[in-house]
Amino acid sequence: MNFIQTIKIAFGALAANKSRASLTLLAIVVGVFAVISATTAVRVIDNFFSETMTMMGSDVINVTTQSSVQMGGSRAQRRQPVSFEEFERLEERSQLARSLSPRANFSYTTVQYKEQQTEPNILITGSNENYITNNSFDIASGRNLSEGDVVNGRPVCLIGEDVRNTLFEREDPLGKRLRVEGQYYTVIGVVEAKGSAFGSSMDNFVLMPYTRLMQVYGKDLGITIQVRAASIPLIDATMDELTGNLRVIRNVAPESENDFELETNESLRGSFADFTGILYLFGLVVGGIALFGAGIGVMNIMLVSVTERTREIGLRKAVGANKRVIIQQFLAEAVIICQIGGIIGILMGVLAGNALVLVMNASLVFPVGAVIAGFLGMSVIGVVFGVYPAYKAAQMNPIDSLRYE
Amino acid sequence: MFFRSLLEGVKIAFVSIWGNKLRSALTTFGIVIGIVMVTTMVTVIDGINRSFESSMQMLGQNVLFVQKMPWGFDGEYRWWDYANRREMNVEYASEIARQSRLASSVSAEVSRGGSVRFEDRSAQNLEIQGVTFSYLFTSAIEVETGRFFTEDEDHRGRRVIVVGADVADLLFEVRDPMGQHVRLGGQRFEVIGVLEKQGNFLGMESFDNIAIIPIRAYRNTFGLRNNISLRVQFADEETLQQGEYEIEGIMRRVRRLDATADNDFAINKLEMFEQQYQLMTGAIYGVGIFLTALSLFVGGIGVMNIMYVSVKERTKEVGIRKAVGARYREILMQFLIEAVIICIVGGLIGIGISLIIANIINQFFVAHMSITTIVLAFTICLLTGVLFGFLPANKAAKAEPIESLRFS
Repeated sequence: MNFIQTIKIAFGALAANKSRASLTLLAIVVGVFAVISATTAVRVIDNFFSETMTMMGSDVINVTTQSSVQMGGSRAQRRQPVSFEEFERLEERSQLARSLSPRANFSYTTVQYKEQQTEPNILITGSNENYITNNSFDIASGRNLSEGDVVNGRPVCLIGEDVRNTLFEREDPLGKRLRVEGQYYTVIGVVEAKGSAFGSSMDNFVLMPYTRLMQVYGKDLGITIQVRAASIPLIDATMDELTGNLRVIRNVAPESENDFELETNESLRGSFADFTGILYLFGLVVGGIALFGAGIGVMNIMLVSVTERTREIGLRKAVGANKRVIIQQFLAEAVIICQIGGIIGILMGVLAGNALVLVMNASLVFPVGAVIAGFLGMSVIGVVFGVYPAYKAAQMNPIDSLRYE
Repeated sequence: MFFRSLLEGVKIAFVSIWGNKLRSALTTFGIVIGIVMVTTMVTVIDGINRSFESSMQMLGQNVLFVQKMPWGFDGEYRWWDYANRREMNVEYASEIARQSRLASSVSAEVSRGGSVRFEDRSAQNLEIQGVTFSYLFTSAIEVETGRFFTEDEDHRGRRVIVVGADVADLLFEVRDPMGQHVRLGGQRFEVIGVLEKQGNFLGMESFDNIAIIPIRAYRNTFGLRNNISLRVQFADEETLQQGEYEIEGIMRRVRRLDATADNDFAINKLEMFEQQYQLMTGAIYGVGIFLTALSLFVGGIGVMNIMYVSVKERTKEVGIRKAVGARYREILMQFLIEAVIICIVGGLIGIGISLIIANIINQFFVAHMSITTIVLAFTICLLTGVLFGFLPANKAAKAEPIESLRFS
């Protein structure tokens, strides 16, 4: 008996018991749906995080005292913040680390231009010429801060899109003078919009040379240092160098732990990966168990099918069918039902999982791996739960089978 | 009569189930899986909720917090509108206590991070709280050994300290903490009490890692400028609802606010916290329950499928029973009972397994199996049996006896 014939017989058997076959199919669909929808949804969440997390360049390292993703209690709360002086000393000592920039949030306040003024929620950021590239901003018009601006502490600034929209609806902001807490700053550039992350806008800032802001607000302020590795493979070496230098600069005793954190995009994403990993595992286990339940259902129905067709099996054996053929026949039935159910379940699961995109504003996901695994997995499940009934059928004694009523 | 036909149905069902042991076992297994999943999910959710509740209770029951800034949860938090408000004042506490008719007690508190040293040991990263005497009533702290400071000690700003259980363990180990002198903020404090151990849940508020001193002693040690917050406690939920307006009025008077001026303080309720929590967790729980319910659904389909087989196999039997006078209801009962028995047996086994799993989960996480959950699980099993057994049973009961008898 060839392959096509086996398939034909299997379909024939399924068609003969439509309601039974469709119920079994439904169980399989639900099981597969559970696995695929859960894993797809977690992928969407994962995507959402990594899309939102890519705020700085991939070769940028942040030096802080408080890690930005904190889970549970933190022992870091009373660390000495990083200072401008430490930044300058680090700049002198660094060989591998390049384009260092400080990031200091001096104030949240109102920015004024003529009669226009913003809400008092504009972030006054002090940094140097590397800030724009280190944070993957782009300049929409005008120019970046120059080294000269920073060294001389010139009263110039770059503004974010939100600030521009509020203050300069019809005017070209370049060359205009903004008033921030009594001080005037000339706009030299506008930074391209980046949108918002976790519900807060990233474009409501004014960027100025930190040297200028230190004169205005004082230099007693905790900052973050951003550093760029010469190349991505050198990130680890750069982090080692940074650790060494920072320990010297911050006078960390040899036996003490680091009193600062080095963060990269990778490490940030890593902490989210832990979280989504748990979700993923949860979805996989819960869905997998539902699928297992469905598999049991398949096995049960196959056993019934074998019993019901005892006479048919006896007859086939009597006219020369060997064990292999009988096993093939019943296995094919189980696998086919699992496969069809699998395809429907995968389609529905991918759709349902992606429904999360509507809520979360992330990009669509097509989990190729899960789909292929689901497809192969369904064959395996068909075989695993079909093999015992098929084996039972094949073991039957033709004479007893024929006598069966 | 009804009872006899019921008994008959049960008998037939058992014979049928027993006659197909493997089949019945597999069907039951499907139900067991479903029930275990759903019940376990519910116990974990229950566990988390209870831990949250008890964390909330640690913050005190029926209390209002009068603070400078509101707790912002939804929408845009306009912190810049709140940042320049006047700070709270410790004196407000006694003012509110004097003027309010509804409040049962009022306390003021302030806190900061810090460490406490004893001899060569030090407990670091503690929450140091400076509170007034009535904090004992407004909060949910329980003193395990020793005592809380008295009103007199509070007024005189005596340097006495009550420490959390973990702090006491760390600093004193086997020694008696009472009367020992510890160092805090460069001052010597006498230990007068140790708090009851509270345990900790997912990094939320716990009293095990705090040290409490009189607020006047706090002022002498650290100074007292901002972040003061007042707690007002009421007898019950209802009084609290009314009390909120009373307190608002008192605060406006204390602050001498113009009739047109906006409040320059915020009254915060734990309720806000709970709502936010429910909002956050509700969706997650919904998804969890839905996913696990799918398992049960799959089990139910298994029952239905097997019941159809059972009905088909016994077509002749049903025909004979009908021919000799069995009514629709009796046949329906017979098969429904069979389905329900399978589901109930599966449910009982499932609940048993869930109990064990809940215990295991409790070792590293939280899970709580309540009577309600058990009853609920049992009811769900019963419903599953009826729901998924009905169609096959109905098919059998509706069948024409003549057709059935002819079936081979």
